[in-house]
Amino acid sequence: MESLPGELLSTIFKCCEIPELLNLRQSCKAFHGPATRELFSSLHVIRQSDIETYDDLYSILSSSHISPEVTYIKITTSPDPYKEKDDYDNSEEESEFTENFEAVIQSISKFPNVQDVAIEFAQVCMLDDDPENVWRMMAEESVEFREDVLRTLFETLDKISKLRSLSIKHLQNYNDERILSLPAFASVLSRISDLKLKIVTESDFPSPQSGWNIRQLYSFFEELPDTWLKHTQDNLSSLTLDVDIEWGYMPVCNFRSLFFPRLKKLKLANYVFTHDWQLDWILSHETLEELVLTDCAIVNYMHVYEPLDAENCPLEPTNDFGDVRGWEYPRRWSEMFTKIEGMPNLRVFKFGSGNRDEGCDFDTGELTETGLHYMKYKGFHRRYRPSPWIPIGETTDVIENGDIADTRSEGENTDRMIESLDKDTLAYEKLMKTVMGRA
Amino acid sequence: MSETKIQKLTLVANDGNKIEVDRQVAEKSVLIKNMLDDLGDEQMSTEVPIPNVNDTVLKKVIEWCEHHKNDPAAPQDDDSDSRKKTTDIDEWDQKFMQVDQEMLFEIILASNYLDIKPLLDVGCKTVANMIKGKSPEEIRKTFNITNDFTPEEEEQIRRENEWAEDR
Repeated sequence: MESLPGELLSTIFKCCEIPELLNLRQSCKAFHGPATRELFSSLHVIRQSDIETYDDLYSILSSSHISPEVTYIKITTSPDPYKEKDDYDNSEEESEFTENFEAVIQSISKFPNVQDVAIEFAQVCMLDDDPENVWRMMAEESVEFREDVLRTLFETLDKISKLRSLSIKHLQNYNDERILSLPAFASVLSRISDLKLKIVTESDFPSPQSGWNIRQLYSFFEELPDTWLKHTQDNLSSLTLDVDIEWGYMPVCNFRSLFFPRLKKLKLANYVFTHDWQLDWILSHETLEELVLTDCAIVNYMHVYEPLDAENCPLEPTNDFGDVRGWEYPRRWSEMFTKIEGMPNLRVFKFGSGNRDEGCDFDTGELTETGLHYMKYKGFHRRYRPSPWIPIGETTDVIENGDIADTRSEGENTDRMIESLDKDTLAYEKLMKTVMGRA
Repeated sequence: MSETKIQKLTLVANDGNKIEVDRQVAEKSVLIKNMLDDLGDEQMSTEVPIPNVNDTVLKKVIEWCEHHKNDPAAPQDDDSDSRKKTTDIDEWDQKFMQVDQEMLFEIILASNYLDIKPLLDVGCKTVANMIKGKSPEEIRKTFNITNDFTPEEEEQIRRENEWAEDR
């Protein structure tokens, strides 16, 4: 086995776990190199809240034969980034941006071959602009802490000439002018070819629905194309946008000002379709080879109380005191699939539900359910609690004049729904066949 | 193109032996598939030399391709950074891989050369399973390798391993 070329040993060692890699390094010289590469190519540093020692990181950095093996570095800013909102009791200690932790982030640029960088914040966030509100929950990571981390990160990344990808998990939905105006912000974004953002939104505790009246929920997504994405347009070949709530209508996010001439892979998670331009915009990227839609839905009807613009999007989303306005978007997945099938270079299409446990699907791209089990239609009713997003059942619910009608006893409507699902299935299978034929 | 479409190919192993296979089976090899795509059926000779693979190994590889000829094409180049944790291998493949070590490595080399990724994966997972849970000394024994490190080098490696242990 030791006579296999190193490249194949690397392929084999990719299937091995860390304890085996440690032992492989020690077994003989032929295995030492590939096992070392496999073991140290990616580093994960987690911020410590008590005794801040990052000795292992600095030992690796100071080793002249190991530090060049590092190509991927992930930094997690919290010892428990997946702590749920419900587990907060308002006595959380605020995370402090220490000099030690700042030095850790800055050390990324000292690894000579680092290309891919990921940062992971805590998933719970808040804006502390309302000291009057005693119910407002505290988050460990304040806007100030996040600003310190992001500023240090972008200034560090700007020094990495080989930088290829950037992944930010649990980015707060707050456009901090101090970050956006950094020269390093635009410079870094314009150089990378792969951007992954998982955006988290603030919700109020103990009444989650009042999160709907937080202004940033809408302004962040309105501004997202102009703030983050605009800079990346020319070089980006892979883009992942994932949000912890349904997005695309409320909050609306208009991509039409953007075009990515080199885009090969696009992944949208939790995105809802309410307008034809959304799919048309995706289709305009003929370079696309891979399209992934996880937990996406077509929204068939909307009930809103805000004034609407010419395209039926809420003008003042935080003002929900008007009269009810209803409108419909009767598209079916079959129509979407048929259009997607026409994309000339598409070779991979993934459609389904992601394993969202601890953001697993964001990290690995794994889907738990795929294809036909996941053909989601939703309705939107602004005042429904706890969630305004109403799943439309597969055979029992049909939309009648914008309302869901229970049709269990009405055979004709049920037949119509089943017929539509059959069409969806056929279109999906046809699309998958076409796409796989190109692979 | 429809009239001249090649249905059968003859693969020629490096020892001159010829094996006739269905096109669909041969196309499990991305190397051969690309050759057919690039040259087109008119230009393509139905005899395809496989200079890096001997007769016994080629037969074994074709056996695998026959069994898996109807598998859907796996999505390519999954560039996720996740380690392929699962070393699960389906039952038929496990039996197929019950061969001596020399043969196992020949299959890995051949599947790499012929670009048959799912077979390469099975081969690599089989080797990974042989390594699982073994100490450095047991790994050496399994693969009949001698320890070529000096005691100083061993000490150095042990120290470096500590940097990676608590990840």
